[in-house]
Amino acid sequence: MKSLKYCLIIVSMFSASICVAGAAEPLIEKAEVARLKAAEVGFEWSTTSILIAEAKQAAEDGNNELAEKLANAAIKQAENGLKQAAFSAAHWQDSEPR
Amino acid sequence: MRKIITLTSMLVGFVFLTACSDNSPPTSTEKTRNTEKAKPAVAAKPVNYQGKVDQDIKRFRSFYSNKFPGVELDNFKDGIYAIDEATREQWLEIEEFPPYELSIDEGQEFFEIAFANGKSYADCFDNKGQAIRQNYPYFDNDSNQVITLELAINQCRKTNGETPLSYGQGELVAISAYMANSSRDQKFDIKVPNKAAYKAYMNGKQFFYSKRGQLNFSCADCHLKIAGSNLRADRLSPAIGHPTGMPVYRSAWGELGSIGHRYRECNKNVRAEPLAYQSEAYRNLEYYQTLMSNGLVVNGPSSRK
Repeated sequence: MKSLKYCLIIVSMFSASICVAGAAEPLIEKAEVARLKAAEVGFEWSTTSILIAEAKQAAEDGNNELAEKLANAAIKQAENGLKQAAFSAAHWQDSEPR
Repeated sequence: MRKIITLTSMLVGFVFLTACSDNSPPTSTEKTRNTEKAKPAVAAKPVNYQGKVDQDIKRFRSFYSNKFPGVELDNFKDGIYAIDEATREQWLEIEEFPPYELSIDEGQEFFEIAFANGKSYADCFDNKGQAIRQNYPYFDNDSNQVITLELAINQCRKTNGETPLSYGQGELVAISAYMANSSRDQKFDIKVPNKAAYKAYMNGKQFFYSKRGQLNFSCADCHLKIAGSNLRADRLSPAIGHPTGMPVYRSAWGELGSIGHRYRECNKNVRAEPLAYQSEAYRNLEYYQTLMSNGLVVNGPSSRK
């Protein structure tokens, strides 16, 4: 019974570590999808793909906290690119000489 | 009896038909209705797209004339050196032995090399490719797109079974430089012939005025609104005349580059992801920019800081 208890503890610790390592991945994927959306309308920022690459590297290195932070920053940039596209579509004529 | 019935029914039928057919003169309302029907459809007045563009050109030019009152319109072909007296003298000295001279010679050699099928670039272009730079880019009605000189060079290669060259720098740009050199002093005369061309023009114009990248700058922000101002050690050139000196030898590159190469660099400077060479957006932008420089002369290739 005691050995079974140890076994369960070891298994749960192992699975928890796997979960921590993979926690940033959905965010990185989300960032990639957001980046592609911005690229589709021609308003991708050149810094976004760098952030995503750095997030991937951090996740690989086991630095999950940093990976999440970088992925979130990339998502924010891609969203700003889309906002910029919408703003430009509505206001580009404001800058024309009259 | 049967005959009587038949004759009667024929008579009734005749009277009925006569009553139904309207031989009475038309009323005034009917007259109007008939006249309206008979009137041939009035053809919609054709939209003068070139006229709309000419209005834009006028406004664009007067903006720069007001901003730089001492600069003759024709001199905007010299880019930043039209408005920066301090560096103009140095530039004129550089132009006496220009750094792009060897590229023109190389371009001529490439231009004259026959393709595997025996034909050459000269067979693809009007006037054997000489003195035609001022007609590019143009809107092609068949393919419904803007054709730049660089794109036309590669189309020529493809048509003749050759592999296309890479855009931006290198052999293709050298050929473009040679062709531009043969067109010096010809005035740009780009046209917007129809609705589709106008759409491409408007797309290019929208690109020019749209803010991009992390720094949130548009082409117009730097090269229209604050043209002439300093950005670190550099003065910002006016957008009018940008295409006349293309391709350009930039000291920062150490070689010749196309206008597309410069667009990509500008996009990178504002931290926007650059688009592909000869992407539709860049070609439309070149179309718009060249139209704004209509009437200026070709002085490419040129050199810039």
